[in-house]
Amino acid sequence: MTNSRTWVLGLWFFVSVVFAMAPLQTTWAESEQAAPAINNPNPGADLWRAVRGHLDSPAVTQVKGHDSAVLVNDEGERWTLIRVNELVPKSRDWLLFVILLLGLVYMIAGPQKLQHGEAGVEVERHNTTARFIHWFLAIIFIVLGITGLILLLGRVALIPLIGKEAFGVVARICKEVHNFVGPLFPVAIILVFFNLVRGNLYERGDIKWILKGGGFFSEGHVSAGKFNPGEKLLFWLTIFLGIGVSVTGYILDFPTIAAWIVSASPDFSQYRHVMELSHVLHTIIAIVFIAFILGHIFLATMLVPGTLQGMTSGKVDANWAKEHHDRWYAEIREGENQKS
Amino acid sequence: MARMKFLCDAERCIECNACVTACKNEHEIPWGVNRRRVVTINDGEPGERSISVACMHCSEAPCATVCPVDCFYTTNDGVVLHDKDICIGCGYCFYACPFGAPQFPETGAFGSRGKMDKCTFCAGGPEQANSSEEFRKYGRNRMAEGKLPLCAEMCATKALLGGDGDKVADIFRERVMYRGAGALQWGWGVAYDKQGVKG
Repeated sequence: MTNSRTWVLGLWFFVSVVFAMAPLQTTWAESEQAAPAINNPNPGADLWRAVRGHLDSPAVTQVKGHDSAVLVNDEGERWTLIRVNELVPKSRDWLLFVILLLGLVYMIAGPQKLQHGEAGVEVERHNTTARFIHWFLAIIFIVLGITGLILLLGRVALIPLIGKEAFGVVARICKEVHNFVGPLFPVAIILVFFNLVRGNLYERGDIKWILKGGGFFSEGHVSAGKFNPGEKLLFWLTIFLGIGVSVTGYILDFPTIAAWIVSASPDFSQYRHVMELSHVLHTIIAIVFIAFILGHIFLATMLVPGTLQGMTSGKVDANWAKEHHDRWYAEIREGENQKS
Repeated sequence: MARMKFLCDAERCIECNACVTACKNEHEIPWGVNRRRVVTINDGEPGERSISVACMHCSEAPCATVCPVDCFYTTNDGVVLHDKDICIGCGYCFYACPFGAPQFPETGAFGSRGKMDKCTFCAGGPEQANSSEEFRKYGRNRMAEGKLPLCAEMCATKALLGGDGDKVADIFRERVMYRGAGALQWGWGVAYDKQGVKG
């Protein structure tokens, strides 16, 4: 019933839009046939349009540079307002919100201890290669995250505490570290992708896990493979947010990279608006990324004890594997049985 | 205190680039840095106009708004200056500035941006006025000597005006009254003498 009503409403909306458009189209057609407008441009108006670079006027200057012939550039103000009114305060608020939310989850759900205690027997979860790649990415991420957050929020968070002179030194170090470590990030993302992609594809039973909310709201555990859909979500977010943050980061870090790589295509010009857009996207993607990684760290260290050791020693308790990743545990047991 | 302003009279500027040269010479600015530049619109066509532009020392300066280390400050004369000891060379002021004023002369390792450099209204920086340290970082401090910016002082056609905003506006108002804005003051040149325009 509701479905058909939606369809009728949609159809009615579509038809009314078409009818509303029809008179507009005739008006346009009429105006095209009307007498040509008197062409008497105001030279002053054209001059001030040219000042803002809005005319394809042959403005020239002795100074070399992409937009050095533009006297008043509008793009800067738009970016200024986005940075000051959106990026800085909202990043701060969202990160504080995520931290509070995780604290709240911990207070409600507490550490999720094993139901049957530790078995005392350990099984290997991540081999040396996987652990090396994970920590390679993790260290780069933490370094970039901390230096990036200091650059983004330091003016509001740190200058009142340590003063401008000291913060200038800190920010200088953060900028250089961020710029030099940053280019390694896509390398780590690519390694993680090839190392873990096989375990992170869709498997039968994943949909059931999602529908049950990962067993978070119910008693007992939901069946899962080596990686549950929550971990798979994190994997794919890492890949896609990682690509986004890397592309925008490379544009920001290497202001002449576009000219160097795509010299064959002069249409892609790494002008100021490209840098400004990259900066805004870089910040948004990074903040979302940091929020998810905070959740990842929280789950692995605080909420579910016994998880972190899978990434440090590489071995987890057999009961942990049985409870959290029963299908994976069954697989390795089967493998062992076949060997012996 | 006076509020210092720049004004370039587009009817007078002849694109001689002497302001640019004077600025470079006075402050011993390195190659590739242009604290001031002259832009010519409709070059070689009827209606050609030239305008000299540098840092305009904005009231609510966008550079100061976006600076992640808050290194900008405004003097009592309304001049926007910055502290190179705090500046980290991130380039955000360059993204924000409508006038393309911030320049990045120094380069760090692998060509990363050095500290920002821009027009100081010939007012130096936070160091002791006209100390060698201040000159090395910001150029000469003419304001401390009671002088106005050199670019405007030596402009041959007096197109570029720099100084107390009220006085600059008075000079420009007088010019507009005298020469008219296009044909809006029809008949004035015939009917009134020059005193009549002023009076």
